[in-house]
Amino acid sequence: MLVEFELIERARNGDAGAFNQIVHAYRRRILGTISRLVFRPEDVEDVGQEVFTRLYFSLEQLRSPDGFDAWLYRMTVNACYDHLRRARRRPESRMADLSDHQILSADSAAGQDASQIESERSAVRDQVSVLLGAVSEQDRILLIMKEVEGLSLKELAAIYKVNENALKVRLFRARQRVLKAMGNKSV
Amino acid sequence: MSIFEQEKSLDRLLHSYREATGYGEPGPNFMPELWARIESRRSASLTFVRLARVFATGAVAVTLLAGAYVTLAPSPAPVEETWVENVANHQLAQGTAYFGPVQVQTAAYHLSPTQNPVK
Repeated sequence: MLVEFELIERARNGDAGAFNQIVHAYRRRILGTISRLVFRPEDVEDVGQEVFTRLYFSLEQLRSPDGFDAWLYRMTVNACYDHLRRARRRPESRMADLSDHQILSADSAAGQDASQIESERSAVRDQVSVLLGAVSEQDRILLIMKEVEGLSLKELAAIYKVNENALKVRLFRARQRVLKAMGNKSV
Repeated sequence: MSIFEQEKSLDRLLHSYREATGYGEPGPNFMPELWARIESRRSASLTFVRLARVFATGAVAVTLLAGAYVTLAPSPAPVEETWVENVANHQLAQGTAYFGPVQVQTAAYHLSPTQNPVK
């Protein structure tokens, strides 16, 4: 846990400064997780704000300090699911729909991406997103939480509220599918 | 590539993915926008609570008024006739009776013409 429970208690009693400290402590971790679950970088901060807004209004429901991290992760995963559901219904924006300012920012971002490191990272991101396309959205999120975020089975069981054995089976199958996709790609 | 090598390769790829997708500091508007969102949601929920209170108060007032009316309004006299009699009386009062009391014809009406005292 990145913050003391006393800070959470203060935030729960309406202390805005304490809530700001909690957001400050967790925002990079949460935004990192969101950026892996939601593929559109421009939506990451929006989803992050949604997660912290939900946190603000549900702090009263937190019973014990031990569960805070898992609880916040569950909120993050749920917010990502909601975002992905909405995104599926929303048509993709095309270049013609963007304002001049947005086109200029996109161009400048593309220019920055031209650096060597960034192009390697971009290749890795693309490769993983193609491989993870072999599994369902739920399994993709589960795999990322386990393999990339590094959460333990116990933590995942607390987030998903299912037993560890069921998670193990599901993770194994999802990983097998990704390995199969990887094998097909290298053939 | 053997399965073991594939497993290792996938682990390495996911590790690189973690590094490649790290998120830096959010933009300067992150916190102000977050608080604006919290405030707008709070005011929306306050509006909802106020509306719910108005509806609840209205419902209680209507219930009390209805209760008072039922208690204080004069109750109609108890009906002492059968349903058929009631309907018949009602129809008679309206002058639209389709059925009425049986008409008993006088004996004179049935007399033959020779016996008829009028002729």
